[in-house]
Amino acid sequence: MLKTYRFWIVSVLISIMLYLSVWMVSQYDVIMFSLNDPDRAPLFIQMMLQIFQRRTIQVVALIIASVLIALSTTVFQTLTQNRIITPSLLGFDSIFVVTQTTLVYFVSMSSFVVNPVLNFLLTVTLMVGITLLMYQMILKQHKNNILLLLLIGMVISTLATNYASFLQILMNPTEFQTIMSLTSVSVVNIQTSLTLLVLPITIIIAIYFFSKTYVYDVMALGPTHALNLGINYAKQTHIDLIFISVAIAVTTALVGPLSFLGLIAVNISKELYDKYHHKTIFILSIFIAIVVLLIGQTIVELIGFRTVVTTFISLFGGIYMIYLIIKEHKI
Amino acid sequence: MITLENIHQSYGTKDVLKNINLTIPEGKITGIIGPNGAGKTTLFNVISRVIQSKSGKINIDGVDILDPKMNLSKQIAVLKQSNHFSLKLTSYELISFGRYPHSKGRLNRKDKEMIDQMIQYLSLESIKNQHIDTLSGGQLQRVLLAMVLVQDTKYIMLDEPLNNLDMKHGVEMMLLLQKFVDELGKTIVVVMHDINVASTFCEHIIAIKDGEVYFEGPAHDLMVENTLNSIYDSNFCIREVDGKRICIYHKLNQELEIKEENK
Repeated sequence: MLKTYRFWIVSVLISIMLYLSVWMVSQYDVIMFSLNDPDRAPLFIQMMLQIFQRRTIQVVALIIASVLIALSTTVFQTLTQNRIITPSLLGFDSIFVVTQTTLVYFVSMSSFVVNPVLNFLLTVTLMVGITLLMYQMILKQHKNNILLLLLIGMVISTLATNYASFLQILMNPTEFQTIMSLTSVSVVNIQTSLTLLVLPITIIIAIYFFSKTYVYDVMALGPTHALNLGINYAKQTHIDLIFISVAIAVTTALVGPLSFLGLIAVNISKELYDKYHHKTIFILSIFIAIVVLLIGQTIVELIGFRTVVTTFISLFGGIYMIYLIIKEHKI
Repeated sequence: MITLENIHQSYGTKDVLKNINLTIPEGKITGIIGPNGAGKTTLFNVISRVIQSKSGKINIDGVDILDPKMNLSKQIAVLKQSNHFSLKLTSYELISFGRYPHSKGRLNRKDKEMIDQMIQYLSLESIKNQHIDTLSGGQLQRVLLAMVLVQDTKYIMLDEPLNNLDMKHGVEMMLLLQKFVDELGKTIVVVMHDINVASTFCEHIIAIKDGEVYFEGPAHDLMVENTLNSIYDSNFCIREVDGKRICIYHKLNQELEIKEENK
């Protein structure tokens, strides 16, 4: 039953209807009052449309982040043969913060800071560029040693964070405010233009990963078996890492760092589905990522925006990670 | 036919393989033997393209193995020594991975027929749906053999297939390999430690010493005291049992000689 497409379509439709009807019932008085007043009605509809548009962008951004993070984490775990590692550990968030800080510090009022699209493109290019440089330097020399790559990524991210906080101390308060507003991106304040820009990138990455599901099944057996079965392991790893770094860079710049989301989504889906087929793990982990983000966002909105989703995800993700480490190593 | 021309491989400044020229004949079991550190596994890895040789050329049926356009996974199947899987798989699923070069992941009816046939051939029906982490060493080895067989290649390379097997299962394994050669027309290359098993079951033997080919030829010619003594730098004693030459290598040859004199 879970496999039929009709089931999914129906359940998505039902949840949308449910959401709309809850909204209608809870806001019934306001809606009726506004629509009955001839002066208010057009304004009200306009406002509704605006809210609807903002919400749509939010939901699309949320789905984009879920898809990218779920897919790239699954592939990364297959490449590293490890269930606890996620690509976010490569230090994307700190590179993101460093880029913003440097920009604001040196060229505070340039178009790179003011224009969100330019800023986004520059940041993503830098993040991808730095990780690709790391791949070139480490993977080529050390026989595809991804764990070494992760270690160096963590060292670089610590260094980068320190550099960023050093610059932030030197700044004047206005510049610091700018940085805070630039770096605390979350699902709540997403630029419409960025979402539209990221959408095609997401589709390309998703199509690529889904087209290679069978390859990942074989790669999960380990390098020697994959090689024997005719997969160019080193080349495939390289291409995958490029796609992963683009995916994580794009998500970080769009909705901010979501370090534990991938860990939660992929591990829960692997626990629910104990076979190896990447296709199913992909789909399941995307759904779980969406659900986790939605629940997080709901909590944030219910308590009146006093925090961001990341906090919740980090809280539960951290607990879950400790549980996983204890379970995997049977302490 | 697999031919190696001037294969040279080194790790750092240490030469592991020096100028190796070999021909591996078709339709036979070829055993690679030699002392530890002689370069057996490196030679194996170079032929099975796990690592690239520093210089030299390897041809399989006239095709260079490093030719990126050639998909050699349909010509040569490789089974390495350590087989640890982090996935939860049943025997059947693991075996069906062997069809990947042909099916690219989507098993059609022909692939499934082939898998069922090989499961029957190796009498694995009873453990077909068992998870591989519950299998014994001998059973897992047979499942892996089935995986290699469904790959449907002319050449099969095995790195120490008798590791972790007791003698009963070891002999069963070697008899199976002979059966593959006789009935399925495979060409098999095995890296081995046990000289007696090699000489009994392999028709063609390559002995490596210090990265060079020390001996190449039929097993019967290898089992000569002088040859073995200089390959392994120890004292061998060779006797003929049921028409096969068997060696004893516990440095007991002086005692044996004394006993013979007494007779």
